[in-house]
Amino acid sequence: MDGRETVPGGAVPVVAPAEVVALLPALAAQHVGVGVTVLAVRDGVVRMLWVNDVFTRVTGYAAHEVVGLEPRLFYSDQWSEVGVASLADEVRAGRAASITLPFRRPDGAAVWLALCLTAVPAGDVATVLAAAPAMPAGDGPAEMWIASFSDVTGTVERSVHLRDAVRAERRARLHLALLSRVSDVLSEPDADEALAQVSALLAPSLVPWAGAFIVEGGLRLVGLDTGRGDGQRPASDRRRTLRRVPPGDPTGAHEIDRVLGGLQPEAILDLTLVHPTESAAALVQGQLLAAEPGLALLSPRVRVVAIHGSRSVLALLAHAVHESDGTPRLTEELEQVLDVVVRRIGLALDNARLYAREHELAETMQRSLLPQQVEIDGLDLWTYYAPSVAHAQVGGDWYDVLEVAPGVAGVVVGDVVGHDVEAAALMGQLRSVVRAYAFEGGTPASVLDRTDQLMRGMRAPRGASAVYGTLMPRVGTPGSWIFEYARAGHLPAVLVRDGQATQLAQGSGALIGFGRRARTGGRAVLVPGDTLILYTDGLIERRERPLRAGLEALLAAAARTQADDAAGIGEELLAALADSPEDDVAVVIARVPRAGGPVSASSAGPRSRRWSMPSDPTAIARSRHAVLRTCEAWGIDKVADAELVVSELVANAVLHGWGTVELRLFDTGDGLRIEVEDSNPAPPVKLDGHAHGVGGYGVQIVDRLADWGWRAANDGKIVWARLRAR
Amino acid sequence: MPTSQRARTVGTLVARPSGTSHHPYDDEGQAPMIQIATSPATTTLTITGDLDLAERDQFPEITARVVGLRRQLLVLDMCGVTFMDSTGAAFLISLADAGRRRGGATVLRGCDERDLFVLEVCGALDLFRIDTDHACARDDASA
Repeated sequence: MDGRETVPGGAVPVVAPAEVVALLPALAAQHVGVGVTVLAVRDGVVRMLWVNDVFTRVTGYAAHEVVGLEPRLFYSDQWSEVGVASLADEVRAGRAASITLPFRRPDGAAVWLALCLTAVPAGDVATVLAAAPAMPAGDGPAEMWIASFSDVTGTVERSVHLRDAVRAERRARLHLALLSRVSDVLSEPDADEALAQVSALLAPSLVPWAGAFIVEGGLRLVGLDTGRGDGQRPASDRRRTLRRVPPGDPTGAHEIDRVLGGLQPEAILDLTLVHPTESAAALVQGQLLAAEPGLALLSPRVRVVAIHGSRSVLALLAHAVHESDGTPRLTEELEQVLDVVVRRIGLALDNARLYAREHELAETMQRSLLPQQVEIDGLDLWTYYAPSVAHAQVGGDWYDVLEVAPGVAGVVVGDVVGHDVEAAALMGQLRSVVRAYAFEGGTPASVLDRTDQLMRGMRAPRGASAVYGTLMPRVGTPGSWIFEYARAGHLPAVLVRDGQATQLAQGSGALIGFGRRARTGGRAVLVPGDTLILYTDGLIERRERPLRAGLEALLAAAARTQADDAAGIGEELLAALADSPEDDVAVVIARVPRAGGPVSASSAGPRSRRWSMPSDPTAIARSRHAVLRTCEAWGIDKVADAELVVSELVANAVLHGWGTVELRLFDTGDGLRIEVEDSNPAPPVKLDGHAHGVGGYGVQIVDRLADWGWRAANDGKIVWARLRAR
Repeated sequence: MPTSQRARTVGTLVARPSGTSHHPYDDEGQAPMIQIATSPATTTLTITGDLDLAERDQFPEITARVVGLRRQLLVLDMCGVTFMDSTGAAFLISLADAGRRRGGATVLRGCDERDLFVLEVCGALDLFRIDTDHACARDDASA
């Protein structure tokens, strides 16, 4: 008994009698813990020969219900010939084939069965057949398989659950990423561009196709270019009235109307139907199919969702939906994501519109506060306005140079006490009133008289001073001008002639609104070479010196001026007096040019000039004019290039900046240097390939003609350019 | 175009800046006036004044009108243009581009050297046929 000694621990095995052992395999097969069935295969037909009791427990089928039948009958709709064929290949190759299948039990319960299939060796099959001589030859099975079944429903469900959880988590992350990108995109100021990008984010990652319609005097699919060039666009674009569809329209077009009207959040639009002409549904359908003809086949029913603003539906989101059984299906999760996207778009559009409206309002208001400066033949005019650094863009000082009659200039310089919004508002009113009366005509004294009357009636809350005068050519003496003026509590104008500066101190009177007596005027004759200076007290007032000393400083500086052009004289005065102004400064300089233009062009005066202009498109032409004049005064040619460069720089400042544009010109000795300062600290942008974008090529033009750069200055930036020889 | 086949003016539209306030600064270049004249095959745009940002508001409307006329040839008469920068060039380009999409051509006449330079920088010279032979009736436009 050698074997006995090898048993670990020296245990003594108890061996069952042989007749008992012979029964054990059958016992094991019956109670093994998995369902077992023996299958006979012949000519491709599989039949169940025997099943154990566990089979019945697992599958719910009793032995008499299945034995002798094909398993496909009880496997019913889960049966797959292809699947069985591949299992057969496996077992015939001598391997065990395993598969986990869904299974429906006769009691209706859905379970998962793990099936393991093995082939009985051919020799054993022969032994079995030999034991049944009754079975006619040829009827016996060619092969025999053993299949075991176990119920793995619990395991499968756990893993399915896990997989779903992983997928859901991945989807959620994707959706979050998408939402954050949508938010990014929506910060794009151009609504069309933002909506186009949102559509691109949604499709095809979330939905097969997406597009947005802007509701603005009709409906317009963003990004759809219906041949801008062939003139059709305006027709579809500007259709202002959409025909309403009555309820009960068989095409469902009425629902789109309801979505547009904000009465329901969404609707399905069938692209295969003919919708009533000029209805919103037809318009949406037409543009969708123009943009994506394949939609009619790919996704004949699109979902149209309203994008709400605070007051109305601002846009529509149309998107294709995956269909099953001919109806669009949208998971709850996807619907939620789309819902959030739609809300965000609505908010962004609403904000953009509100901002645009407010911006327009503010711009319009501001424009009404901006000075005007015309050019008058035979006069060299220069104007300057700088709000005090510490205060807002608009202060209480103002000037206007108007052409009150053909060839006649009306000049006003005024000052409302204070720097706040109230001062600016009163300034705006006064400016309009003086403008109106100036154009009405009459002497300057009568213009101020009428202004007094009106302001008294308005109960102006602040004191205000002004000087108003007219400059008209003197009849009979070409080149000479007559300056008539009146003053309402304002500092006297200064006349500079041959190095002598005198105050035009006639025509004085009380502050505006306080003139009880009729105002009187003054008069002066200007001859070629004369310069007239009108200003506000900001030019001369300093905390450390009395006003009288300031006036004397002005007279001294004015007498010293060398320049032969108004801008040059202005530059000299600002340099001498107003380099650190404590108050708003407004200055108007009118110069009567000498006959034959500037003498000794390149010698006299400072080699720099500056202009401070409101950020308004008219500043562009003014700047070009300033460059022409200055180049003439400095004897610089190549004016054409300089004009182009200054035009582009100022256009950029006006387009992207705000507040005041300041232009400075310098004669560097070997050419012209141009500086343009605006209030936008962002660097100049170089837009490439924007054929229709304004400013896109401006920088390139400057690039070709000048060395240029920019630097931060004050709260904004200065862009400078030095012209190159071309 | 041969002068014998001079386009008969069948209609003239005068476009003036709309919505822009009084132009205070128009001594040398005026707010541009743009005249549109049509013949069966040609639209002629006669532009006078400055073409810059200040005039941008009226450009889209003029482009729409010219496009709506659907003529094969568009002639841009620039003799009276006192100044043009990249904004003005963008306007001419949009006109020429719209024409080209329909297979039409755009002729540019009376341009000075600086205007051509601006168009060249904008990469747009090939959009136009430059009429160098055109003798301008007016002389005041030459800067």
